[in-house]
Amino acid sequence: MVPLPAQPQRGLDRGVVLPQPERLKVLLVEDDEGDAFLVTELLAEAEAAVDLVVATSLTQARQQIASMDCVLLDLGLPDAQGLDGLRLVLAMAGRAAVCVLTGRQDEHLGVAAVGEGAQDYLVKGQVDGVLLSRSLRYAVERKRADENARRLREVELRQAESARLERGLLPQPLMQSDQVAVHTFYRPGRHAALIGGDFFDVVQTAPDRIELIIGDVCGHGADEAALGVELRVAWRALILAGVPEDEVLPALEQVLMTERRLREIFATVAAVQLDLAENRARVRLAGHPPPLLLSGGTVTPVPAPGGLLLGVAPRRPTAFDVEFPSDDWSLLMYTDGLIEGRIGPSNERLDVSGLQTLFAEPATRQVPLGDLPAWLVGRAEEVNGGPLADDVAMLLVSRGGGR
Amino acid sequence: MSLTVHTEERGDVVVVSVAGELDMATAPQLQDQITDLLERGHCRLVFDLAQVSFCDSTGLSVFVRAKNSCDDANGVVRLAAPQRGVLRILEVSGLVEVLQTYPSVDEAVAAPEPAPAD
Repeated sequence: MVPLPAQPQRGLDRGVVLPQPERLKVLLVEDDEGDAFLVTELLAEAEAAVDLVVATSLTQARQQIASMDCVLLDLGLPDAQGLDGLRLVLAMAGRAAVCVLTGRQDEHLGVAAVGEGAQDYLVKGQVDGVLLSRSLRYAVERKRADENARRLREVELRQAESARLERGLLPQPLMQSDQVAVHTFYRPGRHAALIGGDFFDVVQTAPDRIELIIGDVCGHGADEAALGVELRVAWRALILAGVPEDEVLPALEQVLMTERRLREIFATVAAVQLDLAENRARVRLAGHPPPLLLSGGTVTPVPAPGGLLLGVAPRRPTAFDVEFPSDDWSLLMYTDGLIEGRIGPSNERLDVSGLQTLFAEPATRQVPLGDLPAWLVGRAEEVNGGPLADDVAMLLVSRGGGR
Repeated sequence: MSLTVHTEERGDVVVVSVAGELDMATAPQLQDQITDLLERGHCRLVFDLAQVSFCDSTGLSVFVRAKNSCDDANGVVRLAAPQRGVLRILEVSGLVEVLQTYPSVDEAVAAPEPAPAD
């Protein structure tokens, strides 16, 4: 074993272990061998906890900068003089702090360098090892504090953006009917930082006509959410413009295919037209799980044909008519996040049949209609054993007693 | 839960065996493998889904993307042996009509070429 150099105790009790200062990885960018030697010596003399690597040019520095805590840059390099060189280094520095070295005659450059974004400047010939080591350490700490503040700001911006997108995806229903009640619900998934593309909308087009849609753009992120907003707004415009009912979803698909960023982005939708005078609904599915019909104490999925999701191979979804058996019914429209949770520790997922089972539970029957969506998500989370992975959006439209 | 992906060449077809859950967290891993295969000139892919216990819409989009890319290269994408839950998701989404799906890998590999579209 190599004997370790004796450590001065400096009055501390034996056995007290103080945290060692973290060793800093410092990249010295310096073409003058003499100056490079001097810096190395200064740090060694002060027993600074610094691992120094020397690059003699910016080209060389570029290859070594990635793992560094701090860059110490001589502003007099041959391949990039003065502040131009600094700008190049700042552009490649990433998370590394940057300190500059100036000559005695051009200390003003050091001040300008800090203005450009360097953490500190040092004047050659005016620093000793202790001061140099301390400056490097302060620079690294300052850079970290700046980084943290910047990240916090980014999170705040992202939250603000998510809130804006959510308002676009999940609007207030556009209806005044007192013949039916609509309850909406949205819960972001476990990956709440990445908003999904779930959307819904409700538009009343005549005293006894109400159109509803719920949909989901595949993928997560601001792009998908923004596309969801576009589809939702396009749908509302198509409905308000009185486009023939069979043309609405094909037109929506066209919007999706022209506005999407990538060809593999698709969307699923379930659309419902309510005819309150006739007490019936027309359902169209495009790759979306079927709405549930609550009526006469039972809960069953509307047996509408599945249809292909939007954006892959355009075709017209088939309309399916539901005659409501009484004046007390609800339709529950939802996105797949609700039914993709696990059932206990197995690989099995809740699916539509599991959702029906939740409805059959005695406690569920006691829950007031308006609280039903939140209650169902709560139960789905309980059987999942934690928060659901994906976003959940729900639309519950009810007439009379609602079930 | 993690995802594992194995590839095996069978004649001019590459069988991509996927095991685990295909969702937002794991789909990029499969996507990387597919991108790699396409870059190496493979455009006839059979996905063995026998060991895939779950697939969400992000997973579906990986297959749609693979189909688009392989179609462009005059290739083909086929799915084989999906479990009940995954088959259901293919049915609900309607993709079972677009992504040719076979009960077994052997059948998927041996399936005749569809007649070329006009």
